[in-house]
Amino acid sequence: MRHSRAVLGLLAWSFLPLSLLQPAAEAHGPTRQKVTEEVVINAAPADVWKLVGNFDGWSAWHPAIESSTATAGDAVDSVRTLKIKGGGEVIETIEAYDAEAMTLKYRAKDGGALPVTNYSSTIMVKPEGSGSKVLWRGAFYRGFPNNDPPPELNDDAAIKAITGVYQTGLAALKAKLEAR
Amino acid sequence: MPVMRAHRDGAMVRGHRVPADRLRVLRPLESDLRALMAMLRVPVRQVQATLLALTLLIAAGVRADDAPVAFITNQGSHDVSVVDLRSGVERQRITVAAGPAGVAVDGVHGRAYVTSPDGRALTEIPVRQPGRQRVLALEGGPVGIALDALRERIYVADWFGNQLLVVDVQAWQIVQRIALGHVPAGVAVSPDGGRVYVAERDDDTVAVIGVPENRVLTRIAVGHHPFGLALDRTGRQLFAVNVLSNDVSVIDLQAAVPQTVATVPVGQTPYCAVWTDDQRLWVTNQHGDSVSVIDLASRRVIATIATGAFPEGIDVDGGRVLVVSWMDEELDVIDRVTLQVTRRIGLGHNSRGFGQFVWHPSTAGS
Repeated sequence: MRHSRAVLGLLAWSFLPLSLLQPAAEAHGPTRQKVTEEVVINAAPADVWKLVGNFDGWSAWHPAIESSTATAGDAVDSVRTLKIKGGGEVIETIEAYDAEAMTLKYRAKDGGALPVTNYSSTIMVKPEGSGSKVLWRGAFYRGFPNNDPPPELNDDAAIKAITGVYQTGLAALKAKLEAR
Repeated sequence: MPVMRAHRDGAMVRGHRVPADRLRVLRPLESDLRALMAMLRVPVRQVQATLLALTLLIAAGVRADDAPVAFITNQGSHDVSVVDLRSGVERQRITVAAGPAGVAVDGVHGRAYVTSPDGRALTEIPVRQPGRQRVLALEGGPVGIALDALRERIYVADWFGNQLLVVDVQAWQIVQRIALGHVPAGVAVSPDGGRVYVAERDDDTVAVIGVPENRVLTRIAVGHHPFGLALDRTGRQLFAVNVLSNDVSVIDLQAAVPQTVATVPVGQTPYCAVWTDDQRLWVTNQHGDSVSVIDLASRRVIATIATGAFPEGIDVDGGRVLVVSWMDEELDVIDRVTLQVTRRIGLGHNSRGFGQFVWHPSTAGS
């Protein structure tokens, strides 16, 4: 079950050839979309944050990420380049980092391996009972900036892709931490 | 002993004048209340006190349907939240054409207008009869909207068509299309209706359109990607909120050639602004999850107020500034004195409220 979800997420992340993704810089349609996913993990918030809060270390838990390099670690404006399994990359910049509140905000550069534009995301860890809750939410526009988008670059495609990234990642994060 | 004493054109209640039309509402109410309270064996003194409080409320012009109201577009649920700003309760949700975003309120005639970029339509919602809507089919991607209540003209920015649509309310049709620069976003109309300003987002300019000639007279260079616009009450200063340069351009409209005279840095990815009469400008910061408060005398940010995530539309109602959070789907009520969020009112899905969304009874005509 977990395995098949991961495969689905991988597909969602990389199902688009890069050649299809050529939106003008920062252009977008008029309707921003959002995705919110969360998972409860039977592990201390500090242990969860050790993984989630390590901006450059997501390849240790997210199954879609092959490798990651960042320019300035967890500092604001640090830029990481994620190589995606199956091809393509995503470039993301830290907008805000609050270790105390266990909250990380980052923004993606347009034109990566996701069928979205103007994509920004927040991931946070909160105490939940004796364990933790991870809340991950993203805001984005579809990949096609004008009216009448092709199906692979419409709102549904964008939502499906981001949902896949979040569900796959959170399921793997939970599995990794609870297996300890 | 009656609380009210009849008077030719109203009544005096302990020094407070109650107008005749309010009296007509009050009279039957008073006898009903007396009967009810007698039945409940409420002491006479308490009956008197209750009646006095009620009378003073009505004398002050407060009726159930006279509360200020906010009309908030919910882009994800394709409807408009009608929020009673006195009680803080969402009265109803009105379904409109797909993906509503922009909003403008005609205080004179008591009508709210919303744009639907996905449904390519303009919807008119009468404040007192919200069910009696009118829909006008538009074109392209109608987003930004502002109106001139006296001329009964509505100006809609077409995001995809790079034009300004001029709608005549009486004729209920587009009467003119004015070509604009790239990706027109926020719209503002001068208090006298003689100028219409449109943020041309991808050109980093604001177009100045003359009325009635209905053509672009000049363009003003602003920051990077201007989205929302705000005017002061006199129409002397215009403010452009620049999404990608994280600042606000202050434009002097009194100058021989209108131009940007100052640039004020605010929070991350600012979006919209509203001016208040204490010479402050309130700016929503989408990625900052906050509102920056600019003191316009010193032209610097004097406070940053944490709000719901992705704050977008912003408007003012007396002592309160109202902020729409897109991510958290709530209307945040900020006290202008304490600079605190005092109330959070739930809205529909992906709430935006892009434009002037407050209707206040004091602005209504006959």
